[in-house]
Amino acid sequence: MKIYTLKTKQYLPISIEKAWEFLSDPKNLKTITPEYMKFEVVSGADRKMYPGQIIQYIVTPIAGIKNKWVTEITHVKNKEYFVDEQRFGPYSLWHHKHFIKEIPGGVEMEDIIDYKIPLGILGQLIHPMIVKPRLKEVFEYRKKKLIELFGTIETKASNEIIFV
Amino acid sequence: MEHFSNEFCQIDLYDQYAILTINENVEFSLGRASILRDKLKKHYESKSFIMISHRKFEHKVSPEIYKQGVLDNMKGLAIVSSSDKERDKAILEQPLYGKSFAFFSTLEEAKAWAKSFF
Repeated sequence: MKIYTLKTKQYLPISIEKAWEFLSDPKNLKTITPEYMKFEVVSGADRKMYPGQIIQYIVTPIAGIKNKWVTEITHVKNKEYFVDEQRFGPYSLWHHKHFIKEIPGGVEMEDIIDYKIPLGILGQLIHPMIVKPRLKEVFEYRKKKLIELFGTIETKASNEIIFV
Repeated sequence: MEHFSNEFCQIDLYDQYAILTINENVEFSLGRASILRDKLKKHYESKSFIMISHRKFEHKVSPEIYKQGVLDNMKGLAIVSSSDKERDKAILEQPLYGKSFAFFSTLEEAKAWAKSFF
């Protein structure tokens, strides 16, 4: 059983309040997701984020095949972190931690995702060919859109998307 | 605070940031930038500061400025405008500037951002 981890950091020149308001609103996910994925929030995003919140989405990640995703917001600490976990969707496991913290000039946004793909050995074979490049593309797009929306902060820390 | 103005711009130099307003229809070229660079060098010496570009008026910015005209101690650039057109222009400028870069619709937000570095 292989569990993969994806880690990203990005530095935004905005206040922690503004970062939290934007990042914790599921309606903004559409803005920072590639258009070809046709991301749509179906339900559950009509209130401010809270633990136990179920959000349903439709995404079209590969070959025009529509996928329904259901995630639960399991943990929320105001202006510090929140966690979403897949309850129904294409992954066997999807556990996404979103952290933000204040730094000089803005905020550091850190994402840590632990995920597992189905289909056993076959899944492990397709991971480097399909899943990993697609996730990298999605997070690169998000980074670019956030820079367009807010700008960026120069830091010595790495801005890379790391797969473990 | 020190104030300076000439035929193409006005600049207010504070301890931690400078607010630059380029006049309407000016082409902000490398030559013009070097005049400002001298002013900034004299005022800040080696001290770090943030540049706030208050885009009240439409003007052109030469990409050469980002390649050759930026001081090392200029730690960040804030673009201030409430116009979508200016914001679109700033999005194109951002990759040319390798340091901290932010967009704001008000001067107050930009000043708060500048202060947060110090």
